[in-house]
Amino acid sequence: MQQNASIAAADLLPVAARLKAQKIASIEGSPVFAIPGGWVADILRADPAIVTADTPSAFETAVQDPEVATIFVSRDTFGWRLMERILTRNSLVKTIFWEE
Amino acid sequence: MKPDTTKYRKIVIGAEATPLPVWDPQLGTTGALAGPLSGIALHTLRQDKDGIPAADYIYAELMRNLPSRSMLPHLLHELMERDPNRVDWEKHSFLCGYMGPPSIGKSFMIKTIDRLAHPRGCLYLNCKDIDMGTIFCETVFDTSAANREKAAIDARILQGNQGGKGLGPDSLSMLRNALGEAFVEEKRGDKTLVSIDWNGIQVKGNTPEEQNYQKQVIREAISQVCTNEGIVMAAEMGQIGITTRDGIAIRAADPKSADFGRPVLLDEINRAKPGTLQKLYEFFAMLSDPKVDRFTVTGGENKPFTFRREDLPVSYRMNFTGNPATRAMGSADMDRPLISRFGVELDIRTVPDPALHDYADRMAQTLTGVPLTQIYYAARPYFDAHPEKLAETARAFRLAGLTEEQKKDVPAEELLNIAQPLKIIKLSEQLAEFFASLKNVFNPESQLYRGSNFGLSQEYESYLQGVEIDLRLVSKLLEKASVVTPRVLQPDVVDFNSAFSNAADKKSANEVEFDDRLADRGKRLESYLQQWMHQVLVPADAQTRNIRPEECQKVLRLARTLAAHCGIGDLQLKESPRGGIERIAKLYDYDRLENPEEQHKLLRDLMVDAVRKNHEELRKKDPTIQPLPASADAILTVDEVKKALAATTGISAPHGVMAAGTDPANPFVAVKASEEGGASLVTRDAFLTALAMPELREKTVQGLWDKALLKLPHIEPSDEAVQIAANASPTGFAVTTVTVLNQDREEPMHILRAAPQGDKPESLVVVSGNLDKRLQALLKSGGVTYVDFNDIDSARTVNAVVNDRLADNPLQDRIRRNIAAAVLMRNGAAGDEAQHLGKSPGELLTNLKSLEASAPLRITADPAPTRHPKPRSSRNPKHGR
Repeated sequence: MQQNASIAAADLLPVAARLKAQKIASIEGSPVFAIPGGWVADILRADPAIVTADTPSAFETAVQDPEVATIFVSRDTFGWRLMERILTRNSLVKTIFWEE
Repeated sequence: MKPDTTKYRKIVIGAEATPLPVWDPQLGTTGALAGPLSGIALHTLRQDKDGIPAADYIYAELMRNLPSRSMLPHLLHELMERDPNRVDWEKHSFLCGYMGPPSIGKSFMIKTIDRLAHPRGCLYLNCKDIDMGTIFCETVFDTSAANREKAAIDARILQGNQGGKGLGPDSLSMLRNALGEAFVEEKRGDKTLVSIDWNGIQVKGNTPEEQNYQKQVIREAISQVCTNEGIVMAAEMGQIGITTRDGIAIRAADPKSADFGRPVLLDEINRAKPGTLQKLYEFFAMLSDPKVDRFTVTGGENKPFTFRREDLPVSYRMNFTGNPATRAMGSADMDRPLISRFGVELDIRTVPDPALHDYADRMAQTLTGVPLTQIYYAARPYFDAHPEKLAETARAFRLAGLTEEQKKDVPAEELLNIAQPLKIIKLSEQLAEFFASLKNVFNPESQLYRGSNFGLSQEYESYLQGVEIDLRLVSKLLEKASVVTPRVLQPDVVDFNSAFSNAADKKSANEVEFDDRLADRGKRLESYLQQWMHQVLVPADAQTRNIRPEECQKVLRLARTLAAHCGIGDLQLKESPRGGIERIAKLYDYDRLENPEEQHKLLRDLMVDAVRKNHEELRKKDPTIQPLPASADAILTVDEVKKALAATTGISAPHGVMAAGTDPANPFVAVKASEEGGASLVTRDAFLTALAMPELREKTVQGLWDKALLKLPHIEPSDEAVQIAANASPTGFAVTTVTVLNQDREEPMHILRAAPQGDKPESLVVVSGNLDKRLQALLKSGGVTYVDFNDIDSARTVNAVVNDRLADNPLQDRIRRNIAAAVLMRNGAAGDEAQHLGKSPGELLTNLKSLEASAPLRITADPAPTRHPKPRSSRNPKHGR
């Protein structure tokens, strides 16, 4: 029973983390969500469905990959202007989690 | 001749199962393609994925990204031009250009269709300052030989961005000089973030010598940085070079290329390097005219490539977009119709300036993630008859074609907005009207200024004309307004001494919860738009620009009036709102407790909490008492709360005042507000819980004011301040102060009432300290304004309620003074009235720290005989009148 409860809690965590996300912009159709650091960022970074970008090049590779739907940009990896530039010169739409 | 479609899947859009909204610009009406003969085929290389059929994904994705109404005819054109059954494929044009204002959504529309046709989307080129020959042969930097070094430099940069050592200033300076625009520095908060866009290094030189020099500079810079920073270089690092490769037009048409079949988008073609556009004329002629069926060009590595119309795949499509030269950003080339030297007229479509409906469409889409207004107007009679179906349809579009993982990423706020579609449409249309009328404010030639005596200076006129109110700005404002500004406390309650204490709960109290963010989002939007108007209409550098402050203020007043007529901010005195216009704050503030079921559920939760607390106290005294069950439903069901509320209408409480009890069998109890002391005080939360419930409030409010006050021998019953203190004033105002129990301490609380007046319902304001957020929400949903006296704008909030009622009253100053005098009848020491002279009711009522409640009513469970001092009504302040 207790094990079930912990499994249920694990299922709920990604949902709870996303509730902390705030949509702050849409760049060329890609929604960008601001993510607070700490546990919320940890949960999203650990989500296997989300690709984490630690460099601008890694970010662009993920943006160009049709198999990738969601990208997590770690804090201070690069600035907003560069993100806009990369999303504009590529045509696929991604969900971006932007760690603040 | 039909194209080879064997590798493609045919998806039909605009048929019965896939209706597509369309717009008739002549009639100004919306309809939908939804009949048996209206389907348009889209050939796609997309496959079913993760159990989602490609057809479902494509239709839902197209709907989610549907352009605004002015662009819908162009969407239809673009889809039809790609359907071999709708056009004569032999004669059809593979090329179409869209010219129009910025941010209307031209390139976004093309990108959307292109990524539905091909899983990798279009090949995109921003033409700004680009030699257009690039689409056949690109000159690129090949830095792949330095991948290891680049990764090491990126890692150092990241360290520096995160506050670590990072690259030294010499290294940064070298990279800045060598990489040009690819070296990006941005301010974020108080630090500067550095990053390198390795894929964005542009070859600048025109001649091989110039290009070679640039290559040397970059190689040297990387090499020098590696030496400076102790990064070990690989032997092949020296192989950084400049190479040529096939341009996007060839790659998309060459079956050997990985990009074969991808559509091509040339964005901002009017900003291409002057004189290079003519390199495209012959190619464009081939794409547009069956008579020109071949075109040969030199591609990468000097290899020739021949385009043949009959070999172009069905998904091959070339679009370009541009802004007309009149927008001060176009080149003269695009001013004339682009007619090739071969006499072929190209398919160039003109997109109109955004109209009112485009603003509304964009806003509703930003808020819900679906084209809510387009869907609504496409089937308006049906949705008007079945309003619940609109939310259902919009929700289905928002979630269709998404995997379970992707559904998790859909913002919860969008789904909440979708659940109240008519409110969102109204909000979008009011805001659209605001932006459309604001465009006139920024246009000194507009009718707004005709015949008026504004006398704007030339400097201010040219400043105004430079501000562009486009659709992108509208979405940005909405997004920026969603950021919650921090709460500011009034100086009376600020305590710097606690700054370094180790209060464990400090951090958790700081988090902005989802419900908090939404509760005031409408007020926030109004206030953000007002601030923004001030910022743009009163430029901070007005003096430098030779702009007079008076003219800015005049125009700002005009803009504020227009805004107020669209529901943003207060109307000026004597003006009445236009019919049907509602305040944006009211339309957009989200209150989940508007749903009565949610309200009862929250009430139940609050009561269960009280029961638990009480029970725990009992268990401390008697450990043999069993703990309460974990489930709230096992203690008190929502139905039981509803029944109890219904039963309270029959309770004949001696003084009418009700409070939540701690006995689940009897959730509400009669209590008493009196000046008698000694009896046990009711807790603040229990009292406020009952006050929040509309079913109980009327009785409670009547019981709070003691009419006996008027019969005291030393009282003048006709005195307006006394009448206000006794809830007997013809002005409709009443004010009192009560004492309740909060965290085992006696605590005062002020209550201000404004009786119903005309079409305005009763207003009740409660002023107290920090309160459970759930209880605050319950009070708000019950129509009670809760004011935390700690907030810096608490006095303003109270005064706003008073001013709202007194706006047209010629005796407003006197009434305000008498409300203040009534407050002082139960607060402050005798003889101190003079020091409060001239203070507003708001200032007095939110002064809980320094204005002591000297004669409050006590809210007690059982009255006791001990007498409490009478209100100091004998010192009935004369300054009140």
